[in-house]
Amino acid sequence: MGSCDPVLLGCLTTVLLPLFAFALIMIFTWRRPNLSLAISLTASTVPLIIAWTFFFTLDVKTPIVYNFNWLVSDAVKVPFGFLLDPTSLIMLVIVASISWLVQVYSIGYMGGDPGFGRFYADLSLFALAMLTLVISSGLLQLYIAWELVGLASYLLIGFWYEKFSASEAGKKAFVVTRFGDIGFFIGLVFLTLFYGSLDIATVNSAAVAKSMPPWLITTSALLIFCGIMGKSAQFPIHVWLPDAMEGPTPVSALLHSATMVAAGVYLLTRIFPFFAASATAMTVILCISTITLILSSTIGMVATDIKQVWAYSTISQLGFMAMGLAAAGLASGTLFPGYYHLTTHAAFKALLFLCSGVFIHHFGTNDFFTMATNGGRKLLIPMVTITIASLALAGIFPFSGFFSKELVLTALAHLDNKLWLILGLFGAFLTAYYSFRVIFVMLFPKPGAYGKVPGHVEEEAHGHGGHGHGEEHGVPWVMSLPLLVLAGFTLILGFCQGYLEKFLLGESHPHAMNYFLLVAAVSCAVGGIALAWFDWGAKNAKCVGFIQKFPALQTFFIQKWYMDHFWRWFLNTFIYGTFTRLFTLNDRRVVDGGVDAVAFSTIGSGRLLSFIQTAFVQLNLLFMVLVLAGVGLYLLMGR
Amino acid sequence: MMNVMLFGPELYYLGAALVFFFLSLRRQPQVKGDYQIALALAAGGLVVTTLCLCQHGELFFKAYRVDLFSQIFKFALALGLFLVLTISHNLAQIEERFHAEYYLFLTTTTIGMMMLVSSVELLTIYVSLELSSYSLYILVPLRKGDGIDVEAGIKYLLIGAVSSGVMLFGLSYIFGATHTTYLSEILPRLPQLVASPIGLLGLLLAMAGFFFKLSVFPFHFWAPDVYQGAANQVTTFIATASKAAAVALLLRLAAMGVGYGYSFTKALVILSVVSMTLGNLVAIIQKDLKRMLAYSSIAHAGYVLIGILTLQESGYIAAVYYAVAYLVMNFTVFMVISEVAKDGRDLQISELSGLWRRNPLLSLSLIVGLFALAGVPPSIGFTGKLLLFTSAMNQGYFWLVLIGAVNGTISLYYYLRVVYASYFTDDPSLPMVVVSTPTRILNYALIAIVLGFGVFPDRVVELAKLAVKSVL
Amino acid sequence: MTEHAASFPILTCMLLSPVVGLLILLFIKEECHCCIRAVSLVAAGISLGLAIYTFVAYDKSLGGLQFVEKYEWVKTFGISYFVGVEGLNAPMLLLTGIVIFTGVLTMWELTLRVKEFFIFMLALVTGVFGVFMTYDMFFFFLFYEIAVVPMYILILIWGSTRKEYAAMKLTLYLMAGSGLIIPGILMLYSASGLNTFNMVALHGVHFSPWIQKVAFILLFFGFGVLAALWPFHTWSPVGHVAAPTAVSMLHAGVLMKLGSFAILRVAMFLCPEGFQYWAQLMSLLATAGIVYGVFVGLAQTDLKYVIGYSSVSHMGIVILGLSTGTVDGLNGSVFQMFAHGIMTALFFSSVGYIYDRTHTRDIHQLGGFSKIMPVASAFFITAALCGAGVPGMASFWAELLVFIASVKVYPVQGMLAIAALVVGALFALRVVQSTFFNTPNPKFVHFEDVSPFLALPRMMLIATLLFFGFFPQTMVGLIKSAVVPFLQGM
Repeated sequence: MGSCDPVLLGCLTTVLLPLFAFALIMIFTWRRPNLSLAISLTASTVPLIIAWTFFFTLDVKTPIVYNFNWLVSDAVKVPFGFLLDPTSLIMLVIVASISWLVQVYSIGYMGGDPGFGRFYADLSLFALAMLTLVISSGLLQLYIAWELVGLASYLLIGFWYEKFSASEAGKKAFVVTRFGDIGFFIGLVFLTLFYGSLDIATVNSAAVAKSMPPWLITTSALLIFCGIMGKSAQFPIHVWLPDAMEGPTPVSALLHSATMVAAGVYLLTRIFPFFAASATAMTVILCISTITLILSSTIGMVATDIKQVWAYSTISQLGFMAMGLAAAGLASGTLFPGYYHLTTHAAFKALLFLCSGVFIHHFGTNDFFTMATNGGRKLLIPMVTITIASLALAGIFPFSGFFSKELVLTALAHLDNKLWLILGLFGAFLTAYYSFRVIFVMLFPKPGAYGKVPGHVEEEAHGHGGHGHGEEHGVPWVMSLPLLVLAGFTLILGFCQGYLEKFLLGESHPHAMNYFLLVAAVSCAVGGIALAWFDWGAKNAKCVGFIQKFPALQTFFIQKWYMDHFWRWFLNTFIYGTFTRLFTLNDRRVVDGGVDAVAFSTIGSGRLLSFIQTAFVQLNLLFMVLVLAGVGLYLLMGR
Repeated sequence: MMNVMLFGPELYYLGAALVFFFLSLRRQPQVKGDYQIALALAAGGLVVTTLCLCQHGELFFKAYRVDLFSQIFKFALALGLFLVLTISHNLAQIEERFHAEYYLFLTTTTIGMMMLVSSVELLTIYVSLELSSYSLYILVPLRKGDGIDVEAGIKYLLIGAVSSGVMLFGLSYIFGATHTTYLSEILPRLPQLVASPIGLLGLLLAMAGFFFKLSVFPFHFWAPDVYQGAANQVTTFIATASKAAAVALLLRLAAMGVGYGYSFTKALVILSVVSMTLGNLVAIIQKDLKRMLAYSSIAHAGYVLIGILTLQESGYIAAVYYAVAYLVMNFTVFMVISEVAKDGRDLQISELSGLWRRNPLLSLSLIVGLFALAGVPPSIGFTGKLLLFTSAMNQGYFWLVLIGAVNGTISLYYYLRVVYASYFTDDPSLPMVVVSTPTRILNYALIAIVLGFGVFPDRVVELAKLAVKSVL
Repeated sequence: MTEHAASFPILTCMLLSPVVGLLILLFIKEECHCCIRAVSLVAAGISLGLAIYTFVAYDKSLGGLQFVEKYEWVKTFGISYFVGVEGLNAPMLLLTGIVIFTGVLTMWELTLRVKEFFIFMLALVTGVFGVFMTYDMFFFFLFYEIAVVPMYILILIWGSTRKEYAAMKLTLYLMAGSGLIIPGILMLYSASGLNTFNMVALHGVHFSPWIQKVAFILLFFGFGVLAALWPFHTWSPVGHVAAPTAVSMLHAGVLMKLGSFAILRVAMFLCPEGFQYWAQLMSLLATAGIVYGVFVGLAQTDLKYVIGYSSVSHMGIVILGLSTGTVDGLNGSVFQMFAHGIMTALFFSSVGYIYDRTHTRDIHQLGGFSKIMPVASAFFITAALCGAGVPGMASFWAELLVFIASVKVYPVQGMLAIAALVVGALFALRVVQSTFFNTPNPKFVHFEDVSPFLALPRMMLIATLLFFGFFPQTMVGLIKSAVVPFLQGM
């Protein structure tokens, strides 16, 4: 086989290097920070180079596919292979770059942590899983990588396992995503059984529509989407993502904003034609993603933990991408808008998290009001970059977010029902508001004015306690470098739109500028920012959100729409309360009790029978004779 | 001269009995000396029976048949006697002046059983049966003590008397129906015999005597009290040798019924099921070890019946195999008992506690013996039981096999209780148990036999096959 | 089934090496622990080596029975000593070899009545090897009982919680199982009229439907007891809890597989029509076990109970795979027998290590062990993740195959089983969290981590899991080579 083939070799290295790094660190060097760091960095630098070289040099007009048999049973055949096409290449570049940046950044952020080696091992595990996921040629292989990614996220969220909240969050993340994955898996089983192939190319081909009845396509599509809901934190199983912020901030930047959670959307684009084959499925997806968008941005407005804000914004943006894709699917558009937004979002959201990481690292708190009052704006580079990122997030020209959002909204506008568009715009407005709420508070702090802000407690210092380095000033270059790089991306990505579209779809058709839409979008964004300014930024701002006007709504948002309560209740009532309790009782009482009862009754019968044996010989003799007579009679009768 | 060889074993033991008789006449008993003489004679008996193994012929107007079958069982009986004597070196429970009588009556009962296994004529059968029984009636109360032995003796005597009465009654019916007392002549008349109520009843009642010896339900009442009441060594003999003899004769009777006795077997099925179930269930709650073993012997009688009631060659082979196996494994257990209870007292299960510490070897042979009785592989008990079930299943007795198998599980419970006591509880107050070198060797030999013939049963099975062939 | 005689009696050697070791042990002094351990390790090592050899040397392309040895044993009753290897039992032999070897290493620290322990353990292993390699029903049953009975003694002497009750319950339960097996086996024996216990020969006989039905159900329940088939599973958690570490390893790792293997080898092999008739019931009971196991396990607080119920659930997966009667299903379920065996062995060995130190298994008292003994907890966490069906581990593939097959044949049961995975994950992570995460219990902080030597066996187990996780074809290919003809024969 073509081991001499440089491309294949590249793919293998990309996948295997992190694996070796993980194994090496976990088995041998996990006690030695620097060695582990060296190993892990090498294992992430090489894939980075490979990814970029592929991106620029490789001609993937016709996808490059490699397939090897991994497992061949009877009906089940699992190939292990690589599929290099525009979609996967772009994602490959994103993943490789951001994971590299984050690894660099973590040198500073995690410095001196007892679990330093383990941290890098887990990062390598994640890199392995994520890269495999991106370039995998079959859905089953993708699913496997998908599960491994979940594992990595579990380990990284619960990295500071001594903290109960952290381990709890890790567990929650794993179980909730697994909940979705079950659907994904069953969907795959359906495809295997009724379509017979899980090869991405074949699944995307038109053959599916012919060989499977529509209802089956819809069912499998929806089932697979369950997995996407889990991974990309869509309503109603988005609850794990905010808690996932318990993990170290670089992890949040890498997994829970830029790459891993985007994997769901990536899968949606990966088999976009398959999904597009079922309008029903697409409509469902559209509804769910829209709900997600609104829900999470409203919660983002009232969060006081900076990472929470970005977490909810991530959820909403993911919803936004999904909306774009679904809309495209319904209005026979291309997958470009959603995918483009994924790309830009990866850059600026990672940037947002890394900046917040700097602040958290510096002030030892996650509460951005406290940061602000402690003079957050003195940290120049982070402050500038975080502002840039927020502008991009809010969708202001000329930052990347502006262009991608524009495209998504255009896609929404193509739908007959304009409600989606309006909701999308509303989402954009809210996004602008909550992001700039943070920015203005940080830029123009008003010490002592934040007492009334619900959720904010003066002088609290949680976050990863003990990791605050309040005394030392300035930011180490290893941490500021990634910020600058990402900021650069945020600035330029917007203008790569044409190039990317060409790369992705083969041809780029200049969009007829829909001026109404443009105005609407920009005005929404500006409106949001303005509102934020009046609430938080201006000299005489009351420093309470406009939402304060509606206490009921506010509490509703602060309670995160009671989703957590709901799931907790669900878990307690059904899983623990009903099944577990009943089954356990049944096990103790009925099943085991039955067994013991049999045993004891046997002994009891023995005790009973022993009464035949009496001391009175005459009775014994009588009994003897009687039995004999009985048997005799039986014989005579029985003849 | 030829006849002498045919009647060799019996004559030899007759001589031995005479020797003991004279020994018993002395005023001053020499315990040690007597024991050595007895042991020597028993060993000699073994040799004689081995020499006469391949004899075959008929004596006393064809009333007495010598064939491989009978000779094998005679050998087994001689072996049983010898083994019992090997553990008789401390007859603590029997007064010294009675030791000679003890040997005497053991020998006479052996003679009785030897005659039993080769007699093919109703009256001979009866006489030899009584001969063996009466010596036992005397042996049981020989034990010095608290009256329990006398009670046991009386009970044994009464039940024995009644059952032999019943047997005699049955024999008379058969005679009345067939006008002959020779089994060989009864054989051709068997069909109409089974057809006629009298004959059927006669056969059943005639069985009573053997059921009594075998302690099959409902003739089992004596077993618990006698096992408990008699001296350990006597119990051992009753539990091993006499069972083998009874099995032998039952086989001889049943062998004639090959292919006949359809409705007749039904009765045997019932009796076997009842005795194995009853025996096992009641054994569960026993505290006295010997009493427990008594009930287990009732259960085992039920198992043996399975082989007999198949009325098939394979069944008989299995039965013979099982009879021999039962002799060995049961003896193993009793040997341990009499070694642990030096003073010959009745052993409570709890008194075995800490045996693994007090004497590992004994505890090992105890486990082996008990697991063999429970039918756990690799042991003759397991193989024998499986062969019995196989032959029964071949005759289509599905339920019988199922019940038998389930009974095996039940029995395991009480055997495990003994294992538990001897292996896992520990009572520092109990003394160490020391055993003489011969006993050690005996232990190793028994373990080897129990396990060895369990895994390599072929030889024994082939021998049993030949024996059975000689009967059919 | 084609038979290729062995040039060298390799299987007999595999079978006898524990026996010989046992006999040598009988004559070693109780005090000389090192010799005892060394001897038993060597005995285990030899059989492991031979097992690996057979696993590697088995010729898939040739197929059929290889390394066959066949001798007359008891002519009158048609008993013969007949051993061989094919794709179905080669993995099982390998499993047994690995588990006993690691088991001996795990019990290295044992000080109480060492000699007896290893004697009985070797006896047990002999039985297990015998069951897996023999093709004669008499010997099959003989070895089966040899494997089961020593458990009583092993649990009773070296066990822990409620051991008297557990040991007695386990033994009687399994013996009751054999109470059903004997009639089943003998039925087939007598119905065939061939007067032989040779399974391959009996396979040729076409039994009448009702005999097949009765015999199959008898054998299924009889062996099912040992496979912790719901609702006959209650002995297994109790037994696991009571048993000492290595015995739990052997028991959950290997003995429970005897049950499922026997269902495959005897019940399904000899009564195909009976299988067709009862398959639905099989799948239902299996699914019940899968779902039930995880839910009950969710409520347990004793580590070993948790593992016990997880094995109830995983054995359910095995039975479910068998019940599909498809190539995928059987591949999966044999693979699952192997994977689960290794996994549970890993589970118990790591729990054993912690229990030997802390003398508690209550997950509320433990906690923060990742800090106290990172390596030891890494082992357990690996096992737990494997149990939660994380890819990269052997059991993932096994479950994948079984689930796909079962959804195909029994959609409802299949999906229920898949859905149970969520709870399975919750249940595994719950234990991991409350035992190894959070703040350490001050009582236990002074314990030191696993020594490299004691880490070795666990490492071996993990390595096995990962190896077959990354290269499943090595296993599935082998199993398939036997499964395909097996199903054609049915």
